[in-house]
Amino acid sequence: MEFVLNLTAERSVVRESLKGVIWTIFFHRLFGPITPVTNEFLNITYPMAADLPDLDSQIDDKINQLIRRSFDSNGSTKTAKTGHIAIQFLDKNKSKSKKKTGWFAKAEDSEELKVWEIWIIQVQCLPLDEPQSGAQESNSNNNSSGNANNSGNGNSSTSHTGTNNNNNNHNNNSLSPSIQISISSFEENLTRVIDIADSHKNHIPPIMTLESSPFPYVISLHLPEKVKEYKGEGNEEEESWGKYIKKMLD
Amino acid sequence: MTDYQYKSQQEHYPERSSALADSYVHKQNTKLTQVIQQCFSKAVKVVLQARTLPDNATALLNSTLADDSASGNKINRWFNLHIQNTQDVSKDELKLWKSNNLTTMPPMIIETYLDLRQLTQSQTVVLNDENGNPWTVAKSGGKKEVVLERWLVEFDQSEVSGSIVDELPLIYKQAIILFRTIYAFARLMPTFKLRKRLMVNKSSSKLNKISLGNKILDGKKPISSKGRIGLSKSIIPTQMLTTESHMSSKQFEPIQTSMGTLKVSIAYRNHNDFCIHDNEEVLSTHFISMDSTPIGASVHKANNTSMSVSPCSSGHPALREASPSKRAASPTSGGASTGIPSVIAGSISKPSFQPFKIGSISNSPPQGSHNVSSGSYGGSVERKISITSNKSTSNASLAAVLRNPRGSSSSTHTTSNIPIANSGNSGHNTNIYNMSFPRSISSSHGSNMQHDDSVFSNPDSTTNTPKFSTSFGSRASRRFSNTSIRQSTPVASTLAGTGRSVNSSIAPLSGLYIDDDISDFVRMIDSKGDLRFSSSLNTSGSAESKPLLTYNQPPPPGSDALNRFQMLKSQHQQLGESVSASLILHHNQLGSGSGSGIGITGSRNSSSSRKSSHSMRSPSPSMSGLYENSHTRVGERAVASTTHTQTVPANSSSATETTTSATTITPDNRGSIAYSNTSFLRSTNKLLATAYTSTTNAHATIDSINVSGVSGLATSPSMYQRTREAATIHYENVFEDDDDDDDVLRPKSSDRSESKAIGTSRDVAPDSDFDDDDLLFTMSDMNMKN
Repeated sequence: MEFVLNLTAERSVVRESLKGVIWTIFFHRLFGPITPVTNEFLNITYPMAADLPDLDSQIDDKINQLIRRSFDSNGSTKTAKTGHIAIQFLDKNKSKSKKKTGWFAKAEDSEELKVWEIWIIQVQCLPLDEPQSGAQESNSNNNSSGNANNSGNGNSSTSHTGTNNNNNNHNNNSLSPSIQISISSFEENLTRVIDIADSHKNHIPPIMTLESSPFPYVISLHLPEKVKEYKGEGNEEEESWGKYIKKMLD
Repeated sequence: MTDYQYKSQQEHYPERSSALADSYVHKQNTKLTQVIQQCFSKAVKVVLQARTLPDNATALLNSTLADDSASGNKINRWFNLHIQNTQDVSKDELKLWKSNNLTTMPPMIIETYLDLRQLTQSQTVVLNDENGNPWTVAKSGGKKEVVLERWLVEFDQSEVSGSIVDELPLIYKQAIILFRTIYAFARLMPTFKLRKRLMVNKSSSKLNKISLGNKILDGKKPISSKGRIGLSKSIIPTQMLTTESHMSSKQFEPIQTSMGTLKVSIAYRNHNDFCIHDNEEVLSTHFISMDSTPIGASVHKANNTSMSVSPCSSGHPALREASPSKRAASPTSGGASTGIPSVIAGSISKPSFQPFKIGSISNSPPQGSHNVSSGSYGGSVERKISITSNKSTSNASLAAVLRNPRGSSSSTHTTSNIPIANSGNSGHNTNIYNMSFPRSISSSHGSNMQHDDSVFSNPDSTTNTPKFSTSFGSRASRRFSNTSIRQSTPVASTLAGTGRSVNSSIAPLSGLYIDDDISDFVRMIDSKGDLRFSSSLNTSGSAESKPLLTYNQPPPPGSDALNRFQMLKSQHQQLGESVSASLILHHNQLGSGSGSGIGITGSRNSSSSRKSSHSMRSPSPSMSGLYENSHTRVGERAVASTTHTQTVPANSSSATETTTSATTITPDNRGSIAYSNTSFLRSTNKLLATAYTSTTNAHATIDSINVSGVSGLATSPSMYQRTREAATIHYENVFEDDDDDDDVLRPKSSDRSESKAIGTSRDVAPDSDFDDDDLLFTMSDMNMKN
């Protein structure tokens, strides 16, 4: 399955927006035991999983790469740039191993990975809004600094947000159009991810491990080639595994 | 531990291998039952974690999982989402959903409400809309709770699917995702933002008097809305909303099992910007003024009433606090012996938007009438219009009521409300078009009455009906309607010159239907033209935070305001003409019913506000139909206007008048006002459209403006179907609650087939604490692994 998200964010908020969207995706794809925490950006709360520093830093790295490569490198700073990030979730190809191995031997080819889901985030990075940029940049910096070990309910950003909220109405007026677009785009995308996660479940392969991330994933700046359609197979597999277990139990 | 569990299970299987298939089914069902139970309790935990206000903000920060072992709090690990057990929920509250018998497990409602009990006497809670306009929610002594959202979790046993064979892993996987989405979505919802704000402001005095509360309710039982503002009741008048409804809903993907279907859905308010306003100053001002000036006193009396009564002013644009204070302040400021008023007025200038908008509207007509309408009648026209405008505004608020989603249980209320709208409309018609008709008089007075009455009438106040035998009883309250009358009258008299006579004629008329108090009041107002003039100017002036004028100091500042209006006049006139032109055009096109876009539509703030004023006044249903037509971009309601042919003549005659009034509106073009007007218009149109049938009825039964004739409309389902299209009926029922105490909400009690009942004699994981480790999932995984 392939899901495409379109995120629009001003340059000063693109990093944190992307992070929020990507984390929300992962939050719904870390099927194993996780401890949920939240983070906040632009007064919008998104979920994260605690104690996964590797994933967190990998996300940060990829976002940095994207920003360097696509948003900060070429052309003037006055124009909108586009870029994308793809997240693939893979599964060990069990069907093969099952056929070949039966009860006793693990097949050699069981490690073959298959993509069962791809998220593509297409980012439109708006140029900095000149008059507002200073304030906004500092805002986003505040937030990102609070990000790193932010467990609980976004302590560092809470106060910031509170202020935001108090002046909600004035604030909306004072925010530049680009920032307003960014905020609504950010929230829309989070909602979209949640909706997708909620409504598309059947293609998810059976969960076979207790790791927080049962499925390998790849975050890349390259659009993957054609996504292999895996959904049908996934269902079949689930059923066949069910029968398999049933047989075993009987 | 999980391994152990798994092994122990395994050990049992061999013995059972020869057992009946029943045994397997039974075991599966037992496990499934446990999973379902856990779903209920997990939902409570996940939701409440995002909805509970900690005693202080730091407690919450500390209460993350890091210290779970230290604090001794156990963690609920079900569905691979580790969440700390909430202590706020007692086991008793969850007892219903721990039963081993799914057939008796009722739907669960998790309700979050705004707790107003701590409000002090002088405080009023307001809700700001998107444009920062505050709408009164309640003040101390009024409603105690405002329902913000409801989660419905239910296990519907009428929907069965799937094969029992190894459904558990699949179910479990779905549940894992379900609770993650709930976790994430609960934090995107408006209530969560409100909670954040409340947490931050916990220590400050600004919001520390309101807090959040949660309830776990048995979905089978009626939900009492006594003393609370129900979820279905919009605080911001529906016509002011920029969205279709004041609330939204969402249904999560159901999880189907062989025993039933687990469903989770939410209904929630879209607005969360609640604030506390202090109205101490207002009161003190009020009393001072009472003492100092008789006139002021009378004025205050009116204001006062509206202020103190009507516990819930929803449906009421005027900010209770702001408008009275304004009123109180401005007249009194003459008596501002205390010097307080001016200060107050300054400080409250923002909230005063609303009232002023109205005020300005009613003020402006006279000029308009000069411009467009025939001179001599200008005053009278204006007068009428101003009344109508009030009335229509109240209609609009009625619209809110109408549009308010109401459950089937509350249909009676709807019925009562709808007729009112009708009568209002018809009254308008008559009033505006045929001033000579007694009926029109009555209607206009009805509107007057209404102002007064408005005090008592919540949108749903059926209780008032008896007082005015007709449908006027339950108009929504217009708090500032008194004010507007007062304002408009003086202006009319001063400017139009004929205004006075008109007014006087009105007074007697009012005698027909109105209490003596009111007619007296009107008369008094009329007789005090000078004063009122200044006062009205005052109001408009103060809208811009100008210094207050004293009552007896009419000319200088007042003339400023006048000048301003004059300057606007030509501009408005132009627009007005175009409006009228388009109206006439409309006439011609009426048959076609196609909403020929009158050029005005989205064009400018000013024009839009003007339009809105039109619709606000929308004197006749037919007019409303026209507007509806022109303004609604979608042709969806074109039908309404098409059927209106009978009222066309009236329209044409009145077109000018209406236009007149329209042109002169919006003396001060504040963006926000214009904006809200626009939205107002939008929804008003909707309302009118909806009420459309009813209006027709009203016409037909014009001789007896009786509610009964119209009641048919009330039942017209399309009305609230439209507003609640998103929700299923079942959903509606559950979430519906009404301001009325006796509303019985019956979530669809799914016909539980008893045959499905499973003897749960087998022990079903007696996890009284819900603390179990995630055995099931582990188990199934392990199974598959092998």
